[in-house]
Amino acid sequence: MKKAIFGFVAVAAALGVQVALSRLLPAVSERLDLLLVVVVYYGVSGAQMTAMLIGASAGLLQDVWFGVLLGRTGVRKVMTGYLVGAVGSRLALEGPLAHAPALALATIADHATGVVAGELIGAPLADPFSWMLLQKALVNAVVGTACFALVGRLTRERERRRTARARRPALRGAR
Amino acid sequence: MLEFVIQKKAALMLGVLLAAMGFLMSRSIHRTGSATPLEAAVGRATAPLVQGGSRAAGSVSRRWSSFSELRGSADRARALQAEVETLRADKRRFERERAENARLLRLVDLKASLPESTIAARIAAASPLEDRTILLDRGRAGGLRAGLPVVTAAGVLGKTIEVTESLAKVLLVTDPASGVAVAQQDGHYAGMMVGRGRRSCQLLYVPTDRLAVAGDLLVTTGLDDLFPPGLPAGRVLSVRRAPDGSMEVDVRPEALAQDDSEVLVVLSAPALRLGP
Repeated sequence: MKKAIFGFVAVAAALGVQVALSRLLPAVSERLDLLLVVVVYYGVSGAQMTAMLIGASAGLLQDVWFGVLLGRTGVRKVMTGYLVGAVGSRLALEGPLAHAPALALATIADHATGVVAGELIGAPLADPFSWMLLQKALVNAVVGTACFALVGRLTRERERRRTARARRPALRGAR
Repeated sequence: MLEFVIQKKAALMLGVLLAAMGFLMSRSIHRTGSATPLEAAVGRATAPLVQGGSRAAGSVSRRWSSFSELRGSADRARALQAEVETLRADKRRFERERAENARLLRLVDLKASLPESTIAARIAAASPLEDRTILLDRGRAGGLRAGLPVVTAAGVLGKTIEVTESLAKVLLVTDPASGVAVAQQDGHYAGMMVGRGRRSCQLLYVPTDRLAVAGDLLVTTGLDDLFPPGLPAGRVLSVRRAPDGSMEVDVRPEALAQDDSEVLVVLSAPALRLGP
């Protein structure tokens, strides 16, 4: 539950940053999907259900603010959360060497789901497959891996402090 | 049964979420202009985030600009050098302001030339999705509603498709769901300019006996009952003949040729002028 709440906060923050990026660095914003990065973060950590829920909320937010058809991006993000979560719960996807390919493949899976869903509902995507997709995969992989490393570092630091704080009274008691 | 649910909970959750998304799509596909209650609620709840992001970008941009101008301050120990730098910064600011003034003047000229009443707005954000949309910093409170044409000084940009209290979503002419009735500037041929994603469109329904040439300027005809007639819409990039004899005409929208951040929203739809 706590994980999901953090996820929703991360999605909201990602939306704000994405909007700011679209004004400051439009070329980067066009190639970077920060909300997908959040979904993949939960997927690679093995939290498949949370990844799907976060995916649904991230997709809905993108549909409400930037989409033409409500639910289309939701389908993409839910499927991506499911797929990455399925892999993440079976394999240990740890470190940049696993995160970068996971992010790149998730970007391609997200897009492919969009293409298939678009064809099924008769509203095809503007860019079915192009160089742009590879650029998006690359940018998401680089930025996402950096974000994962930063979050991992912050989490480890917090854990270290918590452990140190817990040890202090125990040591005092032993003396 | 319970064991089955626990074992297959991820697949069941996937099914439930996909069904929910399918339901939302089915509701959304038939709507005409107005947002669904869920969209309106999510839009209201998250509008501060979008506006905050947009404002933060503006603030960062201003601070970065000031920071850039001050970066060389260490080298400006001597008074004369400092004066030169200040003058240079002033010149850059004046140039920026002159460019902004020129953009606004073009917009004012366009506003004056349009018989319809218009409202000026700024672009607040652009879509990261394949859907070609942007957000404007004005909404219902600013007098906007869904289905209004949006133009820049360079030409037609798109139409509003959803409007919240303070923001409006615009479907760009480059989205495949967009269509603009256009004609070549001198009236040699006419057709429908349809979006093709990224920054390009294609011209459809051009009679095969009419010759389109790269560089032709296309203007709106008003026949789509949306855009006022006579506005620049796009410029023909290339013309190919398909194996079936039809013409494939690539068009670059004029509005996307320049990075304008100010737009005009036309409030009243054009009246079709039929007959003399």
